[in-house]
Amino acid sequence: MLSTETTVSGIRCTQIVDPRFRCCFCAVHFLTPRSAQTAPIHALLTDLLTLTSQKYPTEQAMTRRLGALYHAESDGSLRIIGDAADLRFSMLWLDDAYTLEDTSLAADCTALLCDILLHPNAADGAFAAEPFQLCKARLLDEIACRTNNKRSYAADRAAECTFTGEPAGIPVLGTQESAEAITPQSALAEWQRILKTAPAEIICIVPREMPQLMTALCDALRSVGRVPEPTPLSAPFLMPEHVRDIREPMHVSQSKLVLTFRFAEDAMSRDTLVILTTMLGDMPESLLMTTVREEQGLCYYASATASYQKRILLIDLGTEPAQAEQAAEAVRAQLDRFRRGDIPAALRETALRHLALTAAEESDSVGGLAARCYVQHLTGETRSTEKLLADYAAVTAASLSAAANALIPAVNYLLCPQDGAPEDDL
Amino acid sequence: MTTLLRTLTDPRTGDRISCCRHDSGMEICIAEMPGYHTAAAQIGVKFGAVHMKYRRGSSILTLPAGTAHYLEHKLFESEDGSVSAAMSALGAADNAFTESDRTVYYFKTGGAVSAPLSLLMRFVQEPFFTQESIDRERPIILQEIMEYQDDPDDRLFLQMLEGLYPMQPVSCDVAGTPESIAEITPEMLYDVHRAFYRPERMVLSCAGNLTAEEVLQTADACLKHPAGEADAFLLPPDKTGCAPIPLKRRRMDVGRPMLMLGFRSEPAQGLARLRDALLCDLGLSVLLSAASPFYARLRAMGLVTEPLCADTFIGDDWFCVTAEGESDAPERVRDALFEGIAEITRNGIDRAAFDRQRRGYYKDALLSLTQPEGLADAMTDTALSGGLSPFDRTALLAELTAEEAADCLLRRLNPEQSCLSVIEPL
Repeated sequence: MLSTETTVSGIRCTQIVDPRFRCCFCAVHFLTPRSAQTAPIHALLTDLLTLTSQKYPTEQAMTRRLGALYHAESDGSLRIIGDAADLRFSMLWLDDAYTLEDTSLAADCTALLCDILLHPNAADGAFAAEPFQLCKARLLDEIACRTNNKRSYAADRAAECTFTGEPAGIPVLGTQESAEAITPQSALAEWQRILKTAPAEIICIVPREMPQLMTALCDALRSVGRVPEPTPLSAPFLMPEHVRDIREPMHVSQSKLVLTFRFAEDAMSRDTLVILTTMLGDMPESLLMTTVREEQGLCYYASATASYQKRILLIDLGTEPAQAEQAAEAVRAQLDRFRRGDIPAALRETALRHLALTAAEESDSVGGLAARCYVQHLTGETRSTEKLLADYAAVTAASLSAAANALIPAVNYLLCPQDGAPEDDL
Repeated sequence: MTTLLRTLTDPRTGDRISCCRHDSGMEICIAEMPGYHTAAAQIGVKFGAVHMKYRRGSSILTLPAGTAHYLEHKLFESEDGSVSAAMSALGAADNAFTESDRTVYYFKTGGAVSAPLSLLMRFVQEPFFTQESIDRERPIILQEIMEYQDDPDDRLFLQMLEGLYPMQPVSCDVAGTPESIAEITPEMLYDVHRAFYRPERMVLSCAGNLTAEEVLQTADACLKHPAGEADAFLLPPDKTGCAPIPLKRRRMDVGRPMLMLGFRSEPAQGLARLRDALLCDLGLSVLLSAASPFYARLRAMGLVTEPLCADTFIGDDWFCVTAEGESDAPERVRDALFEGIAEITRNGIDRAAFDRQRRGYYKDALLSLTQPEGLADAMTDTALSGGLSPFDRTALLAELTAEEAADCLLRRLNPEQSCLSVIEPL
């Protein structure tokens, strides 16, 4: 694997050459601040820009074009990183060496990605009406359907409640009302703003040297006359003064319990947070899985996730409604163990091995490599994988205990069954 | 000792797989993938959720729904404690899944493969159940069942199977029901394990950063010969009087109505099964694609905002083709689908559209084999599906025609043999 990095007109460009992969992947990231008004626009843009372009002005035409390129995967995705929005537009296609008729795809796929970004289906300061209305309808559907997956819904709601008043507290897709308010003009204006001012990064992963891909993408972005403005990853926030108890009744069989905690900036290092989260609930043999699930049988799943930018640790469980309080107590008891310094050395070793495996897995896939590369750049991480794992191993029990003591309970969220079960079979 | 059965080579990529037969009777498939950092290994057992009735001598024995899944859970507990804890101490992460016709145990590792592989072989072959451990697992599986009950995607699919195969094991929840799992005893699990976890019903698949030599040496050291001849035989499901139920509906907490239309047809085996599955999937995908006139019609009628997805669900005793999506008028979508299918089977499938779709499937199939886990999955799946090769899929996709697909849809998509499953919002 060979990695080269350059910065062209403020655009960070990374090319990773890895002959194991039989495909080419190019992604362009834009990092931008978010607000209640722009949150649904960002979600809409990831769909709208990839649905059509000036050259392929209907969904049918664009799908046919991608189909002709061995179903090249054109993707727009939105991810919230800290308080900012990361809009990623990518294209993945089969390497020319493996096409059935010696077809060459690289130049056409790169051109199509440039086309999607720079020549959207718009005129007179507005996106074309038909694709815009279709994507808006899809977005409204998606917002309405956010309760379909109860586990992710519960975790999202708990995080939103924890971040009340902060940009990260705005729902990823925005609200029904804010999505209703988007117009073809406001959406295009936001896209043009992003294109001009959002910090951008290009990541290409290719099976052999293909500098022309990066050059084409860079030239395309430079042609916009960009004036990037810094996007802060996190805004200041106030520590919770008391725990908020939130119950949301729904027609469910299993309750979803989510506990969130916040911590001060100087309370722990990023490495300590990683080890603490992994040991608690981010691996199959985590403390919560082996105790709350396996020993006590109080839940089906128990996991922990964290964001250093947002100073949050989130624990979520699927549990029987009658056992929800008992499960919450069981989680707190495990946290208390950490606070007291009762931290099993074997569990720490397990966490280190798990992190080593995760790093190895990331380096074996295009998606894993691309994601790691972007996050490292965003967070200023420059350590090699070996050094990072060595630093994780150096995290002491004392610092883990101090970190657990620094956690301030913020929200106890419970999605619970509501009275009157729905008619089961119509 | 092992005997080399065959060496499979993909002429397009040069990838090689060695398939051997161990003296114990187990088939072993190995793919060395130089340059990768991880290895994946799995043992697939031809015993799954549908296997609920068997014959021993003149006795017919019936198992409670969820037995295969319960067995899967309990094999992770050995006399020495948790298998996953031991696996994790070796730097590997293990898990398992139960499907209708199989159970698969697997691990991934970023280190040497021998030790975790040895553990995998041992725990799958050496059950250890006590009444206490069986009782301890029950609440965890109950929680799992409750989670499935709240999952609309899972309910939609299962309800479709209940309509297509009424009263058949294939339409039972893989995890069983609270009542059925209450009947499961340690003796029952021991008996089932002895009867059906025999090496000749299993395949071991290993791919990634490993050598064939270390895999075979470990197999020699760990694989046990079965105790005597097989004395229990699975019985096929009784199909008498099970006409499909054309419409099944239920209400859940979802944002929009969800629909899945399923067609059942005669089961097929071996290469014919793979060929027909690909033809149905491809043919129906051409019809449903965002590039198709059919989708444009559905959109113009205001029935959908996104294309429906085609898929197949196939085993030794069932062959099911599905179309899934969201619509406020599921029955009108079903009627339109019946018309659309009739039209393409009458007039033929557009060749250019078919070839675009076919190349996309070819790309997906080829790229799925570039990951250790993907290749191990494919080796297990093809070995358990009648001795196929993982490269058969790409080979077929290089040659299938639109005419064959139209013919296959005509044979297999009969509206009289369909069920529309709908989940409606509360």
